[in-house]
Amino acid sequence: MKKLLEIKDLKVNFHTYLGEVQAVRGVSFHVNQGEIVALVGESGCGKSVTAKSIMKLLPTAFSHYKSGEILYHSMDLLKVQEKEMETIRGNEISMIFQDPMTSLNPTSKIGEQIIEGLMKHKKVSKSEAYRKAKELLELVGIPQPEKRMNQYPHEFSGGMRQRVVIAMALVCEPQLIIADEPTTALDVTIQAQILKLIKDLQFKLNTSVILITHDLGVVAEICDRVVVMYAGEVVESGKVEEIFANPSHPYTKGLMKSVPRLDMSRNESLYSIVGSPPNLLHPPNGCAFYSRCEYAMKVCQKHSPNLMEINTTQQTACWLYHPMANPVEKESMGGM
Amino acid sequence: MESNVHLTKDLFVPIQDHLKDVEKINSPTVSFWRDVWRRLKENKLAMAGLMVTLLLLLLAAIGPYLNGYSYYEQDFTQKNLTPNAEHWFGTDQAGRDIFTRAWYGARISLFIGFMAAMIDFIIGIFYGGIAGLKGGRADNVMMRISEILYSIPYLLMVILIMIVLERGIWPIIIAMSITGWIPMARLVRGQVMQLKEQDFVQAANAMGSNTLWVLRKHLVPNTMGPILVNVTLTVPNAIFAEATLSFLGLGIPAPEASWGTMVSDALGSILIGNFYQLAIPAILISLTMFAFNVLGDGLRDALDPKLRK
Amino acid sequence: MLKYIFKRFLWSILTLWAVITVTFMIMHFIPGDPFAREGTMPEAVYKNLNEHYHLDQPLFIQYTRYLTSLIQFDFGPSLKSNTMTVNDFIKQGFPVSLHLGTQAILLAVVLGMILGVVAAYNRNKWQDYLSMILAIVGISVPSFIMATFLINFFAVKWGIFPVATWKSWAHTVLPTIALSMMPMAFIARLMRSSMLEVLSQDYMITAKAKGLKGKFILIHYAIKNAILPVVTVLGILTANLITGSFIIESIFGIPGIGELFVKGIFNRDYPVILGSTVFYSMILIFLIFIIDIAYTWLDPRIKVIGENN
Repeated sequence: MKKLLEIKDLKVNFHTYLGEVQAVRGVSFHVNQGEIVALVGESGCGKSVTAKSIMKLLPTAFSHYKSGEILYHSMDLLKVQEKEMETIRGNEISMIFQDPMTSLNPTSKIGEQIIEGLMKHKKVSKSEAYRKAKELLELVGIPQPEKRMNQYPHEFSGGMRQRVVIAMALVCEPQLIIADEPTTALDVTIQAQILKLIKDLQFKLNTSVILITHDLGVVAEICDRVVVMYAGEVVESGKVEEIFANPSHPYTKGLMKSVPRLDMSRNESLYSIVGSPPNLLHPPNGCAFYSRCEYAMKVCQKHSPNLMEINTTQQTACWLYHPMANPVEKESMGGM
Repeated sequence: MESNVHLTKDLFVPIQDHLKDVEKINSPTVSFWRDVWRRLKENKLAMAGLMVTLLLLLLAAIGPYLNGYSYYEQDFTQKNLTPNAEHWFGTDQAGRDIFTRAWYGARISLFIGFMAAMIDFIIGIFYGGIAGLKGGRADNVMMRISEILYSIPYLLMVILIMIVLERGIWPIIIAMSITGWIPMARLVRGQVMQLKEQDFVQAANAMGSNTLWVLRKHLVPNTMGPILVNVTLTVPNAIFAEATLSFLGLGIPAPEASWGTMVSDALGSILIGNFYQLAIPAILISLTMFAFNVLGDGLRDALDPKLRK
Repeated sequence: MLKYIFKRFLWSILTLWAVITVTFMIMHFIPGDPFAREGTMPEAVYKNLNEHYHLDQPLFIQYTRYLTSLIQFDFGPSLKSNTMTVNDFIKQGFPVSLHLGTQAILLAVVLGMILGVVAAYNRNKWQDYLSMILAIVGISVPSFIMATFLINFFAVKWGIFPVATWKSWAHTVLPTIALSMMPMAFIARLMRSSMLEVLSQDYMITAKAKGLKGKFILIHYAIKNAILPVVTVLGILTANLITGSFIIESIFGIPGIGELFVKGIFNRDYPVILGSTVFYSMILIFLIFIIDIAYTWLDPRIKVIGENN
């Protein structure tokens, strides 16, 4: 499989009046052509910042890319000029945002909002663009597309708006779609429909998708690979089956355990990870998860672990998998 | 992530009891008003406004006594003098000392400004508070009444009332208050309505706290911010309105001086080249309005950290 | 939509009626007889005048007669002029005031919006600080002070523009600037905060993520949404402009309705005061009606509410 996108050691800082916040601290992962990669982690872990970095959508006034590369077709997007970036955004890489209630322009008609990107990137005529928009609205399951195109966002329900947003993201037939928590703001029943839609469209059009979510159920359902982030770093990555069957990082294990299961007994309480993530204004020297980790060792407090290979597809950033670590420790973890 | 660190076997020993303190919140909680004050202090423009305001208040208090002249004494041998060692701001066309008159005028202008703001505040709180708390039909009727009154331009209304009333400080304050309270009432009502719906107030109600307690504990501190800003911004408006009235000959009667009458009296002086006679009260009016405006803006920003980002 | 316009129209009529009534009542609270000042007036003439204004009739009759004459756009005769009615005065003055007012509001809106947009787009850079200092000066310096400063420098000292009167376009420059400064500053501040609000919205990122050009986003996304709050305050700004024009017209000796009104105040010519107030209110209420309708047309979200009601 060919790598479509590869992020290498990305570091992003934010300037705030309290100081520099290290929002992304050396993230590396890749996306192959035609696969769906999940970016998982709790809010504030840097997954949205990473996603916005790919499209260079972070506000330039108070954020900067400290280091790293974002290789798209082996072209470093971080070095691309804004003018050229405009031709990539929406055209080759597009984005689906979290809240469909706020991500559409309230004073423009839906049709106009769909075609404006198409007209800019593909230089098609207005009538041609409208024809394409109509097709797309049908594709994403909006009935009476012709009538709907002349309506404003407030005349649509949340689920319908998210379909519009998806249609907007698809309009230029991009190679990569970044979906930033596309179902979080929707009703549970709508969530499943939207996910199925994304999956179907991805299959039909063979695009790649980065799906940002904190919902592991979503991940299991439609993703091929998973990248788990914690405190601005990647702590584990691997195929979906591997991560679910054999989570290696204590944080990933905690995430898995905190999902409610049907087979839980009534008096079994739901697991939760104690504490809260570190302040990224002053990130710790050692492992960022140290203060919440049940298996912490002395080394974890002092040194931050690198990603280590567990097998060819699964990697984890945890000292427990270091050759020097006591195999007993690892054993006790496996059986928890 | 460091890759070339020196690792030894003894580092790979588990630690047990480090999870105990993890749930402790360790950033100190700061009181709301102290936080507001801290943010206000950071705003240089607002602090400049505060300084100017304090300076104006001080000079209004002591200024008229500083150089031994009175505000009303006319000396036709000494008229139209430019600023000099005797008359620090010069004299006007009737030979009166402009320095003394200017600070005497400051008293009147500031007094009118503060009184108008206070009366608007009191009426506004009651009217808006009752409308907001009662809701329903009472609210509807009260708001329609205020809407109609509000559709008459404020200054036009003040002028009309001043035509009827006698000239003087209190008539001016009354004229200003007759419709001046409306913006405050609408603001208070809006705040109350919004807060009534808010989760924490509903929560307090649901937990059985009595209404008065909810009012005191939640509504008052939370509505205070925008109201304080509004009061601060009412002062310059009132000073402006007073100046306009005086300018139209409906303000403070002679020999008393307000900044507006001083500007109005000095209007002819431009043509004969005595611009300072007009410039001094004009600059004082503008400076006062500037000080209160930036202070009000600063307060608004300090009270609503969301706006700062 | 039609139903909404009709409702809005009825509300305007109601407001206008209320304004007329309030103004009429205020005028009749004037202590003593408005005609008593003319001590030298022969008894017979006085009696005629009195009959003409129906002053010998009960208040209610006077009121209904005044209302009926207003419906026929008859503002009655002036007290001080035997040859001209209030209608004649208004007919003479209105084109002049309209010219000045239109120029001023256009300048205020265009310049204010540009300043606001530039400030918001360059937040915390020198463009922002410069625009906001201009704006804060604009709201701190009352129009009549601005006028006197402009006259002193641009007319008296440097001779660039004529001092006063209303003859050529050059005569209109200084009064237009003086009158537009405050609304301009107000619009600039509002536009800035409205732009900042819009710029922080999710749909701005959506627009950027679509790869649209910066200029396209500025016009179709930012300004199109940020302009809405500015439209809503145009009514208040017009009211502000009208009251400002009283003084500006008198300072510059411009023969408009503002000057007519001020002369009316000095002469205690009550029909003129009442007539010009009512006329101004008509204009203002009509404008607010138009602005309301325009707003529903500009903001698609409002239409639905209007239709559902």
